[in-house]
Amino acid sequence: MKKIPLPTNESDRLTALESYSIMDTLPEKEYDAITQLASYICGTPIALVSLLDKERQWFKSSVGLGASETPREISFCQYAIMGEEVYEVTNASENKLFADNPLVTGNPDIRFYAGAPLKDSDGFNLGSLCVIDTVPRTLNAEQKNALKLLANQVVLLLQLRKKNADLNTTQKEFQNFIDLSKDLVCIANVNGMFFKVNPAFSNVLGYSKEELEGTPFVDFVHPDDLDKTYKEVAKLAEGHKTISFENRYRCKNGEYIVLSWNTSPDPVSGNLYCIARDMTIEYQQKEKLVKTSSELSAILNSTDFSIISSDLDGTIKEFNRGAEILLGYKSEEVIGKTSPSIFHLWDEVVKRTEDLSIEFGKDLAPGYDTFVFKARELGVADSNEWTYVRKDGSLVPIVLSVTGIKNSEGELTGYLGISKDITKEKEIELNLLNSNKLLDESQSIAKTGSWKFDLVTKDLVWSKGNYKIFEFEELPANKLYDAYRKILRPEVLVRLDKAIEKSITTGQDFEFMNSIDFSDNRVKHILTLGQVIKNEFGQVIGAQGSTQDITEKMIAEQNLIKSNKLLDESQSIAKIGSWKFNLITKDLMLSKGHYSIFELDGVPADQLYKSYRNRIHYDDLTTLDEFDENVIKTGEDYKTNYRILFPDNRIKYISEIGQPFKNGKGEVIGLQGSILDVTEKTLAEQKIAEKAKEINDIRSALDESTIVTITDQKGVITFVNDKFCSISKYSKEELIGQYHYVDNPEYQLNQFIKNIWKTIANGKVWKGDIKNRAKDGSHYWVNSTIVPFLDNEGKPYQYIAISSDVTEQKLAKENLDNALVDLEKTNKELDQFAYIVSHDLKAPLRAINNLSEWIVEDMPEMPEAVNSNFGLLRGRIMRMENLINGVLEYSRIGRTKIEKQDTDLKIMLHQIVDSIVPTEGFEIYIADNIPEIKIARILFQQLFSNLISNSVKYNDKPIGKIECFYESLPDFHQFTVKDNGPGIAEEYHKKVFKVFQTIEARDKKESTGIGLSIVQKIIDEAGGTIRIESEEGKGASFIFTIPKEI
Amino acid sequence: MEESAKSCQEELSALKKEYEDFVYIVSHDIKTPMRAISNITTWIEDDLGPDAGADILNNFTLLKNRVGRLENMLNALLELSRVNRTEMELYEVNFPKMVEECIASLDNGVNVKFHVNYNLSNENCITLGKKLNKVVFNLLDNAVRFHDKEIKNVFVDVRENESDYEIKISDDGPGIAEEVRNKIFAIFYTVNSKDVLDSTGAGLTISSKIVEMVGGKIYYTPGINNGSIFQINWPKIISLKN
Repeated sequence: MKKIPLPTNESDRLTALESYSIMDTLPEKEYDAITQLASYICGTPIALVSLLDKERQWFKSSVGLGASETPREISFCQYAIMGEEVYEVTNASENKLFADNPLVTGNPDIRFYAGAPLKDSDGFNLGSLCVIDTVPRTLNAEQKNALKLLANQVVLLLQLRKKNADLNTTQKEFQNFIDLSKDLVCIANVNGMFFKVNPAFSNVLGYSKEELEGTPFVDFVHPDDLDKTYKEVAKLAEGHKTISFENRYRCKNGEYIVLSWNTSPDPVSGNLYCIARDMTIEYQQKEKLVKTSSELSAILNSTDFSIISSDLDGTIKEFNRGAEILLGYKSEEVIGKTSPSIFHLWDEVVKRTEDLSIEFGKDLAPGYDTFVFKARELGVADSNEWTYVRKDGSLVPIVLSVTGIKNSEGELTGYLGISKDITKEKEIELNLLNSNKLLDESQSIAKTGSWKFDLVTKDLVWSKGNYKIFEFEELPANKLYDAYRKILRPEVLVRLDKAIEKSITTGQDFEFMNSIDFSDNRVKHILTLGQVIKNEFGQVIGAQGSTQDITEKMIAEQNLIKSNKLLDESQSIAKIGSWKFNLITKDLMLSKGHYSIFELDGVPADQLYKSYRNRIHYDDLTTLDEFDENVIKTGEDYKTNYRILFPDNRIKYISEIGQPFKNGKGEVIGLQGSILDVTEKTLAEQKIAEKAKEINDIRSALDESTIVTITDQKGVITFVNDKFCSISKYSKEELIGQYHYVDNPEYQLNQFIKNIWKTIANGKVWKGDIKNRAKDGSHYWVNSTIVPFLDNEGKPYQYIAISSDVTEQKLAKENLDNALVDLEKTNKELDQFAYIVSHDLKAPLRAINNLSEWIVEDMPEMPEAVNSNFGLLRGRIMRMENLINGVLEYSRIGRTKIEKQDTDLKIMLHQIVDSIVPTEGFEIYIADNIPEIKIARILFQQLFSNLISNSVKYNDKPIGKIECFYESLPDFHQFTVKDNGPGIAEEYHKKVFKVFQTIEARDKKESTGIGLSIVQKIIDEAGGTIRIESEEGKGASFIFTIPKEI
Repeated sequence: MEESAKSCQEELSALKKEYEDFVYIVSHDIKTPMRAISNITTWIEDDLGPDAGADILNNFTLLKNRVGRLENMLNALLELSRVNRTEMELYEVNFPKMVEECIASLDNGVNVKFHVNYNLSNENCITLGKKLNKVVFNLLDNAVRFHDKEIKNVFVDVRENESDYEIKISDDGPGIAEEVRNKIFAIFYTVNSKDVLDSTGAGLTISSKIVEMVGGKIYYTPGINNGSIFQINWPKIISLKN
């Protein structure tokens, strides 16, 4: 076994080969053409493109050979790749290396081999292009040269292939990225048509790709936003590199969505590269938040109603100002500390519990549950009258509506109790009942007496009762009449006589009413009823009858008239009415108040009953009738509510109390009662219920969309919603009762928190971003609005914070900041690195230079060869130092900011010429119109120095001409540096700007080749361009532009 | 905001590329004059012969030394520029075996006592083996090379954490003075003058570039008795940074 030759860089070489992904690929005609050509040129039957990996040589292309690969250790190519030149074996059978090689001793009987290494740009020999013959031969110089050139072609093909593969991968990745982007990405061409759109475009807007592509993108812009859009796009023409704006875009379904655009033009094609983001949801949420927040505070601030919310266990969670006013407690005294039960009379609670127990057929225990039982069981608002006990012990009647609070999942999370002071309504109701009672009492029966009178004897006999009425001492019958007449007023006597006279003549009964004045100024009203007494002949001989003290009755009647009048008045004020219905006669009597509530004024009595019934809402009439029947049957009072409906569809809500009235036998003969117009109250209750629901809705909407926390005036958390729990990763139980910001080391007791407190404690709204720490130690950012709620004295009693999660935005900002810091750091590091490298490399270089000088000095009789070698050495050292300086300079352009200053370029050019152009042998022209402009002076000095010194350095004419021109273009300054030197062939026009490119060998002209790279970089940084106009032998012009000051 | 972050990132990667370019240009293109200098020096040496004066030979030896140093520096730069281009194979590394091999390949391991301690749940790990090997070798080589005692102790402690391997290489050598600690990772920096102890000053730079490339950390802490501790956190999952 012979020793296998291995290149020194074998492992790197294998990696390089692998990077071409060429091994075991299918034949390609480009390679086949080259092998074919090689075979023609060299006149050999076999030509191969052979590539060597670790184990084998593999033929990318072959002519005249069947095999596609052979083991590496028998390959000829392994020797070819060891050198730079064509490796030739003229007769293998006579060559020690190959004489016993199976490829020589057997098929394909190789005798002749010539291989040119395939050397790639990194200097790796990947394989060889070789020609093979079965007879010994040699190649002439042209053939060898051709073989080398063809080998170069193969390498070029390989490199092209690699670049294509890289490009494809990059393009694919990019395409994937665009396709997967949630943002709308598109390219619009110069005519404003959509040229390419990504799938997000279709998803968001609803148009198909085909509908969009080829359509002008302004077609979809909201008409009101067109001007704005045009204006923004116009900025691009003004030279803005990117524009960002928002407009409304029409979706396929006709709706508009807000898109936020970022657009950059491609300077070459003029195409616009646009990225848009759908902002609709962000906008909607913003609006919704503003709306709900203001509504919520309006409701909560309403003091007309007391609003108390409590959790399922009865612990008070919210206690609004209305509740504070009504009950006299401060919210902080009760929130989280007690249940609303303390506001109630225990007796009422017990009573209500009994009622509920009967109603629901359950044995309920009095307690907090009594208030919420019905609201929970029936899922509706439960309204009842209660008596609240104030903090000072006084009582206040209220109507309390209790509703359940449900979260977004519909689970009951607590109760909301809305109550209203009904003291006034109660008073009116009570007055009504009292006056009824008074009426009843006033209708009591008066005492009576009886009398007998003899017309003939004028004897008058009185019963005891009669004496009592007249307050007489008992008198004999013959004297009583006179005494009686004495106390009557004269005009009464006349009436009395007339009445007696009439009775005697007609024989009819008589009725006489008179008033008697007593000595103590009392007046009694007396009704005397009598009938005549006749003898057997039919003659009237006397009279007898009864006397009735109707004083009280009279007063009562007068009072009744008065009180009825009063009642009517009070009823109409209080919207109260009373009624009486006679079951037997079907007569309905209504008070004035009743008339006016029912709006039946002027209806005749005979139509009253019908009209009355017509007013009552048909749904409630049956219920009412049932009540009436029940009263008649049981004789018990009733109380009910019903509605009355007017022809114009107005509805009034009526609360009615009814009771039976009975005749002497205890039979119910009629019904009477009072009504109360509770429309306002009912509507208020309904409104409360609606508001309560609204509050719930708002709450759930808030819970859905934002983070809500409520703290008391000390910052102790009294409420948090689920969103806050989920962002802070704490449970509600862990949060409530804690100080909001104490657990926040970022801000603990620092100025930031102090400032927040300063603002909100003064009753002002605070807005801003706060960084918080979650339970797991991670940080999150919220944008918070903290609203203080003020009590009567204008002092905050609680704070509601409505926040949204802005962690991502903050992180993006932080990333940006970090990136900027990184950038600066890297920039600095690079600068330092470049400096250190240059500096440290120069140190040994200088040492070498010094040492070589000393050696030369120490050896006066130095042999010529050594001397010239030392010269050579110093030349290389100088070149290396220049290179290092050049690289350092090059790397600094653009990274170090240089202040621009006004510079007279003409003066600068003259100075440059003075310092670098030899006085002999050059003619210089500097145009007069070269302006004074604002530029980074040092860089332009470098720029012009480099260009002019190149012209000087490469000048090959007896008189070198260097000319500097200037032309003002619309947006650019254009400068030209022209010389009459050797010129630059076109193929180098681009290449000369690459780092370390020199056209001539460095030994001929000492040059680092970095000068033009510096020129190019300065112009690139300034935003200009540079080009060369030249023909070989006729001089060169370097023409560059610099944008005019923006 | 994202836009500016993006452009920032772009600028950053442009800068990083420039850094790569710089190193590449210096190491690659300057190689040509370097090779010339090296060749010419050899010719001069041949021509001078052994008969020249002692001063001259002495100076010439110095000159050769500087040429060699310059070459070493350029080679180090080349290596630095290739850190993330070559030897990027992932394969299974056995920690004890790797450390053993590194110790065995030290050319100056006389009078050194190595104390090795492992705290691993799995001795094997699939990683960029060549790179890890390079870093460990560099640190071990430094620990021995710059040691100033007759009897030298070098400690290797490998410990497996949840997401990385913590490799501590410490010694009881002279340590590093506090005022220069922030310079030791800079290229070509040597604590002592290069004339005292000839070293390129690139080992730690290359090591730190490797560690940074794999997303790990390397730092220096002073040890007890003035020694040095170099700690590497080598991530279990390699995330290549460009």
